[in-house]
Amino acid sequence: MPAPSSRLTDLQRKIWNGSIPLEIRLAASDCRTYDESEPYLVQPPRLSYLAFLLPQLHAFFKPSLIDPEVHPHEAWLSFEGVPLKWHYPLGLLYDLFSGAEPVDFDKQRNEDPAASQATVETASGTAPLPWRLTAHFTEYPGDQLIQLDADGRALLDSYINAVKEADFIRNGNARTVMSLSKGDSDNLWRAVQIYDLNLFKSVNSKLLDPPGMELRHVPLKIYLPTSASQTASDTITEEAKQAGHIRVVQSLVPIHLPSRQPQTLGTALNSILPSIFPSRRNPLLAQPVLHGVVVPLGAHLNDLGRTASYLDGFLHVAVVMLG
Amino acid sequence: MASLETFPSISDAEFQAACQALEDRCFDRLGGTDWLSVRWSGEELVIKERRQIKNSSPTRPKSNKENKRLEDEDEENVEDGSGSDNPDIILRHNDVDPDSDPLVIHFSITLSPTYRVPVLWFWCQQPQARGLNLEQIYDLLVPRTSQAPLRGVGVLGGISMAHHPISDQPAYFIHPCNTPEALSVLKPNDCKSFTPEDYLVLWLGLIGSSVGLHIPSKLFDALHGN
Repeated sequence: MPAPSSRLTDLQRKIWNGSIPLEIRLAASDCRTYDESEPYLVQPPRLSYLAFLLPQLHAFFKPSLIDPEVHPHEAWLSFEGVPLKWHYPLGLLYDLFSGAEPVDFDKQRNEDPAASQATVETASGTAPLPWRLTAHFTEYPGDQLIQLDADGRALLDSYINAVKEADFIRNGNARTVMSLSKGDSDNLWRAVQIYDLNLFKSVNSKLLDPPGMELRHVPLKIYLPTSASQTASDTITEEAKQAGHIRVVQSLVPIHLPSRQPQTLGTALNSILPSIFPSRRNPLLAQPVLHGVVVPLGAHLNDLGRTASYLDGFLHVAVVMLG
Repeated sequence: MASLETFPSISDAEFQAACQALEDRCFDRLGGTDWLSVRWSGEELVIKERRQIKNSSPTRPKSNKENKRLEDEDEENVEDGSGSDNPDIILRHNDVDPDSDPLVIHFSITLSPTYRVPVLWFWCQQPQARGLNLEQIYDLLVPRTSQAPLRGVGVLGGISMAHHPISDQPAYFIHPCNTPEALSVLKPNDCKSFTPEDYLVLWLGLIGSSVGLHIPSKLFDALHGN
């Protein structure tokens, strides 16, 4: 059953307000006082990008750096040795790597019917918070991370490519995004940088509801941890076994099924990854996680796309294996 | 092979057929060409190419050690000029050092799930180099004639960096978003005999050439002869 629009707007605002407390420590190998520097505490939005923190991180750690001349854009972040990709939003990184158990409302409701009032804000799984990360300023892992630049153009390029791709997926062409005025596209990036919902919506709404276009597909990317991807494919190499290797799966997902029924997350996952999601209704082997929450397979993909997408227009869904 | 259904798009099955066919055609025929290997993995077509870089700085004597430091930003006049199979390359200096080490460039062709066209990924794997930056890519790999058209697209030009969909490693790629339109201009008159492999060759001619990747003429002759 499609959700009423007021609940969708409410949900969208909650997702926008979601944030993750971070405790960032300087790598001992970069620190003059070895491991005795103070941690940097910050709570960025889930939808945002870690790269925006680099100037503050650099300023904060500069007094402790062995090499204080290093540029902010040469820094990189890791979690338990895994370098964190810049173009993945923070929320996605957390869903994929933190090890936090996603919140499962259905499970909670089944275990305690009185707990059905749980909200996104109050529910907590066994979430290891704050999320402890390490900041490095040397030995950039160029074989695993894309190099940033001083002007932030690499990040902007990656973002714009994603926005264009999302637009293409929705409409079958990228005319809408390509016809945005310079003011609009500047505002979109600015809204991402300063994290302004109203500014963001003022441009994003043009992308979601282009006049004269019928939305065809929902921009969706599915992230499989290595163990899952080994069952999905026989061609994983040794390199894939490195911790942190994620297989990204994409396929054009129509808004409607051939029967004209709305596409749900379950029907989409079952069609794209049938060995991992053999059932369209019940998560038997794995669960789809978005913004820290297990998403019910019955959720309509169109609604999800409009309310729960990240800033680049995509639903970035992490697959968590069960058992 | 069946002809293409949805030109300029290509289906999964057609793409697989095309890559398999090209791998088969290259089998045991690459001797004497700049293509070191062609391998279809079932998901990507990987082409390893040897590209001769000519260091022609005339002011100082060249040593092999110097020629190897391709990541040294101070080095001027580092050229791309592979000769026989690259008609677009113009040697920028007459000075040629036959001792300079060639680059080995890895190309990977995958099918874009969004744009339904092939995507060209590439990276340079030199044991001593960290990898080429974007400026070096334009300097060393992109032929003169493709510089302006490629650079004029998008934030950083038509070449970007992203994580390769299969290896997950950072690699350069050419934006596929303009490919469907560019290809549709080249639509063959006789679609019935236009095979998936023909499509791939056409696409390589269009996209590959912008980074100096050309099918060795030896194979091209074979294509017409067979």
